[in-house]
Amino acid sequence: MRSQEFISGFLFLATSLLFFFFSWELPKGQGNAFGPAYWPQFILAGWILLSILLILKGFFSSTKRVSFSLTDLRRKKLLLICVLIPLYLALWTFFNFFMPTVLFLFALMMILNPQKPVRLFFYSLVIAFALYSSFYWGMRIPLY
Amino acid sequence: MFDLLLQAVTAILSPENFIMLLAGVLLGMLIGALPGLTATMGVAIFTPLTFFVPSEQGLCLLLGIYNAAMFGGAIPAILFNTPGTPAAIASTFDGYPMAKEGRGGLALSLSALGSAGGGLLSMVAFTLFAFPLAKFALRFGPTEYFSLSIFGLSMMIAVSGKSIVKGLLTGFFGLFIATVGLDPMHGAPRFTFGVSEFVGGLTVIPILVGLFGMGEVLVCISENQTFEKKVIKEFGRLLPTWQEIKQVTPAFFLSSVIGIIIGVIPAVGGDIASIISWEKSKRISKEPEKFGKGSIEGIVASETANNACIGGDLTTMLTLGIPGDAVTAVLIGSLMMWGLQPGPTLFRDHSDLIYKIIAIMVLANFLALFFSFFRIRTVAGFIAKLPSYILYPLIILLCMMGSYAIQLSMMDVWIMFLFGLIGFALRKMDFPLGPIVLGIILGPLAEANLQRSLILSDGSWLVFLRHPLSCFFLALSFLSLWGGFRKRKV
Repeated sequence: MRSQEFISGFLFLATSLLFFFFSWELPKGQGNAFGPAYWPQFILAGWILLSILLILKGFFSSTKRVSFSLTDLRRKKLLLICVLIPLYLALWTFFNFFMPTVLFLFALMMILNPQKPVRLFFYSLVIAFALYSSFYWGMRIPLY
Repeated sequence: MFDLLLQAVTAILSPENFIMLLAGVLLGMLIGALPGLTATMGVAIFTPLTFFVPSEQGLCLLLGIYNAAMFGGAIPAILFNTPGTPAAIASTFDGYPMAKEGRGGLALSLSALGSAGGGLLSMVAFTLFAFPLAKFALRFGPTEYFSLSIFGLSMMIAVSGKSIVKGLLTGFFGLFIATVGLDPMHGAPRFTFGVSEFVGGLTVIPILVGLFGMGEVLVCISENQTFEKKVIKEFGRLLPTWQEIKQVTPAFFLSSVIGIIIGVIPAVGGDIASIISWEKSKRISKEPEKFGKGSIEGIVASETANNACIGGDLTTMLTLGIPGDAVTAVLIGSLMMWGLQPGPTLFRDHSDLIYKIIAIMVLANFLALFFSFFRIRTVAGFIAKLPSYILYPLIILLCMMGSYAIQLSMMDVWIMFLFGLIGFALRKMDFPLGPIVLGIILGPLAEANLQRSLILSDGSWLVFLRHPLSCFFLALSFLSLWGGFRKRKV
């Protein structure tokens, strides 16, 4: 059994079934015209069939292969980055662009290369300022 | 026609446009030269930033990136044996052995000449064939468009990678994403869950930026990819001799033709074109035994074909509105963002823009050739020194700022982040991303034209078989599906 295909097949199946359930709330067509539900239901039916096919394929596959393998350190780095991004987006919403961006860049650089923090903080400041200037003054895009 | 072309060249040479083109070419060369970063990613990241400039300037930047990334991809392929873009894979076969022999300079200059020549020839083919094709496509009605979009969707198999089921699954995922928002005929909201931002549908660009930008960076971080490499510093001579130019000429013309033809086929790109051209050039070569060991014909074949593909890709994208490859799928999103719908009507209503696109591509080729010859050492040195711990955070930030800039909406940034995670997970589990883009772009076209056709035919599905062109496209779709299933494992 190939667990990677088995798991991804189940995830796809669960998602497609959930949306297939929601699609029943959409209006059906009348007469010759088909309604808003027709096309999504056709797609979701195909999606469900393909998910089942992937599960079966994973179940009957003889090779065991898990390519989703990361070392502990890399997994920690990735997790930290994935937690930092929503945090940064929340900070951006409440405290505007500049300061959260400097902190976000500094944190990312420290995660990827935890050396020379003063220099990295300087880089973060310069990059954030350069981007802010090019957006705000160069392209007239307000970054709130 | 020549008057219009001349006017277009003059317009592109205006300071604002030329600066954008220059920036695009430089960025494209850098993106192409950095292993892990692709032309698709570059165009996706910079598309939102072009929303606030006129479409001409935006096209200069994006087409500059697209074209120059193909040039840039050869640099690490030759100097580090690592292709900068997937289309440069075949360039490692002969480029790296040449660099090891101290002929890296010659390999780089021949790759640049081949790329520029292939790119220019493909634009000649585009100029000759795209206008008649667009004129012909103006006759298409909803039935033809539905069948054509089915043909485009059948190409999901071609871009499915190792597993057809996985490719089709992601393709259906893309088709589903495109159904979010108002129904095209009745205006009923679908899967919006009361969120007002979803009513107009999910914005395409943040999704593509997430899948190809954020997702790629997360993959690079997870694989600990860095750019700091040991560069071969012995370049040797740069300019080829007359004898060498004569030797590579047959391979150059053959690869140009192969590249253009493969480019026209929807969803097949430069990577396949360069490998096929390399193999075919080996067959016609007088010294086939040198291929793979440092053949100058091999490097020219690979680099000519991947750039010649661009003209073919643009022909399919601009005349029919069908993406030629992943980059042109993103470019379709960019054109739609500026209110331009790719397809035959674009040639009728905005023919000046088509000539400007030709002018941009021609000038981009010359600029990229210039930088390839005179700034190769600088670019190679820069790649070797560029710290990934600065580049990755910068790309992540650009993905977020670009997604925000389109509609000044934080929702788009969240969508981009979500699709970044989805793109990362799919890549890690060996799911191809190309079919998602096909689904997102072609899904609405297929649905709207299916509904129109059925209304016009009083609900008869036979309407698709009554129109000869529709029948032809359906037969092509069947052949492409059958061929795909026959040749590959499910």
